[in-house]
Amino acid sequence: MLRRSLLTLVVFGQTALGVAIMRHVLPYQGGNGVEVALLALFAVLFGWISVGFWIGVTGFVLQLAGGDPHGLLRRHPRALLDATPLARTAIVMPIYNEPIARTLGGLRAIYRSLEETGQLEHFEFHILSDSRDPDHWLSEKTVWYQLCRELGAFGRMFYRRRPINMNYKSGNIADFLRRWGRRYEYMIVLDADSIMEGGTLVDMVRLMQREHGVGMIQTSPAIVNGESMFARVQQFSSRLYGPMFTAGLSAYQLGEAAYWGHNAIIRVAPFMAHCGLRKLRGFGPFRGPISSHDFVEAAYMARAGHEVWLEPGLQGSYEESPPSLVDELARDKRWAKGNLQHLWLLLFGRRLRMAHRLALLNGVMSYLASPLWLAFLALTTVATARLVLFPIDYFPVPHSPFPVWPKWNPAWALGLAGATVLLLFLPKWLALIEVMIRRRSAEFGGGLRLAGSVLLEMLVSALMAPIRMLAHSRHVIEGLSGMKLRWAGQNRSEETTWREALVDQAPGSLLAASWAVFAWWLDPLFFLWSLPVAIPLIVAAPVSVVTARVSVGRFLRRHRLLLSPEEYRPGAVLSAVAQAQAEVGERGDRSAFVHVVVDPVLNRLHVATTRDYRRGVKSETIARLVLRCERDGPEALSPREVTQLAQDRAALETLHRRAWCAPSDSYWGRAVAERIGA
Amino acid sequence: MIIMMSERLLRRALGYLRLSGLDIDTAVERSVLDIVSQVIAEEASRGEPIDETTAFERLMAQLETVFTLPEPSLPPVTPVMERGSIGYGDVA
Repeated sequence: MLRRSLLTLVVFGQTALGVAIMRHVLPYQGGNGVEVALLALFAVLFGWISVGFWIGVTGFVLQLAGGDPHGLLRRHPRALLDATPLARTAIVMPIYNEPIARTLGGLRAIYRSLEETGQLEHFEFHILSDSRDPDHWLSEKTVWYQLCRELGAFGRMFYRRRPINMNYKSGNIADFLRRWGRRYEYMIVLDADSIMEGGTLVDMVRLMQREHGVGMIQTSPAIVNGESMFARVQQFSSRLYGPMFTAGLSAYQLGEAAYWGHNAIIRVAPFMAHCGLRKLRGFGPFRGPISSHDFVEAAYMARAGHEVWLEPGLQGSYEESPPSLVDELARDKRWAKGNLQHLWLLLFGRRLRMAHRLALLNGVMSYLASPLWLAFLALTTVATARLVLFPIDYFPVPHSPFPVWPKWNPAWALGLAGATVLLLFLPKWLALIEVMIRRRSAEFGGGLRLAGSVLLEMLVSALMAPIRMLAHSRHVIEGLSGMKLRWAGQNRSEETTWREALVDQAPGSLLAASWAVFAWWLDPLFFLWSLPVAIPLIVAAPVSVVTARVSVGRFLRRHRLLLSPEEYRPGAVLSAVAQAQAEVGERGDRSAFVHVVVDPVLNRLHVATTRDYRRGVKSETIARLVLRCERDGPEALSPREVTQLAQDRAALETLHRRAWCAPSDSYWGRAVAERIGA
Repeated sequence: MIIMMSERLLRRALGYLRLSGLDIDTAVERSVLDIVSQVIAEEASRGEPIDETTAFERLMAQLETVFTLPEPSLPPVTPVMERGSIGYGDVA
């Protein structure tokens, strides 16, 4: 409580001071409507970055002090933790049309790592697929079977595909819990790109075993496996600044932290009892299923009296970054809508704790800050235009007999701009200092390269901030206007093409160029002020393309720039992921269905694990589809029709039998010949 | 024509058995040859050109009769269901 009170006091004090200075910077000292609005926006934005600044500074201090004495992990001596018995835990990986080699290859590496701890017997793995494309999920199931055989994971690794997607990822998890939740004490939720070390998984369970009041423990996943420049910038910042900010955040949140949706452990019984997500009953975007579930589930867990912790001390937790800005913004579009929905819960959610309302507000502000910044820029343009184009208003305050002379305080303006830059960038240098003090700079490429990498990261961040601002503003407007959300798997590997970048960024570039020209026409000084925002938007397309290039990322890596500790010295589990990715076969194309029909063992596997759906009219439909598929092959059917066949036990058996009796020059005759290598 | 047909039948039969997990040794090859000869003889005895689909159907039926194919060991796709329900903490 003391920590939060101090943070509040410092942030409010700093913001009040900033607003007071800003008021003196404005020509009419806040004496008209536009300036009052400017001051209000400035207060929100300045307060927002102040919170981030002080969290960073707190994290820096705590890291130098060797960690937070109130942290969850530090409460228990290592020996005591090691002696703690484990309980049955499910490791669940919800997937949705994800690259199979990467996701299930990652799972294989996690399995192996857990095996090495000697504690595998306490864990069971569940692949929870929501994939829609039949060839994709048939491939997933085939690879699952291969993994079971290879790892000896029969009865320890399971595969479930929901025939109907409802309520996104949280619906997938809820579906799992309804069927098997009572089987487990704990559940560790992974994302499709999650990687976790076995030792970390074991420690998470042991911590839960020792802390009965804790409902969730969230780890802070480090970004790894970045190849493009964009992903490597994210990876570098996550590894250099991430631990410091996480330490600071955790120090203020303590047992009222947020859940980030993956790389976290959950106590299953209270989660099932209290964390069901009702559909929102509001209007427009505030109606329907909750699309961004994690913060809400943490809030509900806390409402039920359980603590939620963010534990920065739990290392060995990893995830991946989208490979490009375009992909990140596509993902942000979904997240923006999800976070904006939280406004409803923030205002009307019953009995939520204040800390979790603030966490919801934090999520909302992650996106809402962008339109506020945009509005701030628009109002400064209006204020400048009024000053330049209209006669000076000496009596801005109505009915006041005292004239007001517009005043300029360039020194104050510069000071305020400097303070803002300091708030944004000083924590980054503090993170660098911390690494230097601990003599860990070699892990980041050495002292000089580390400093160069920080400068490069700051440049890229500065270039991308206005692009993100404009995109997020659009997402917020679309989200609030209730545009339909399209749920799609994340691109995890492809580069951005010039065409894609130009189409995406052209409106922003044109807007920024027009704004800069207008600013020049108004006042050269205002033009200079506009450049840090206008230039990145004008060059958004090339920035987007170049940063998405894997070749640029590799060039920087060769020169040991933006290096991360995992690149410097890859851990066993990360090396295993790379190896698994190469070894785990990936099909996912049209041939997966053909293989399931032709291959005797695969056919038996899928037949044995598929229900017989034939009833009444459906039976006739499937019989017709079998005939068409037999005659013309699956290419002649729609994905939905192939799914109908792939989900029907009798259809798979019939097609298998008929394929092996098909004449050599027919579709299935050729498929059989290809399979047997004739 | 009959030689070509025999080759196709032989190739398909051996392919099927191999993909089903059977070790293809000399004894298996000899049995398959017998089956193929039998299928060809039966089809040729009708005095009409051999219909490939019918020949393959006979072949597959014979293979299932003669050979006991190894049952692939299949993992359980899910554990035994232990149903529970999801609660909503806001209902006091």
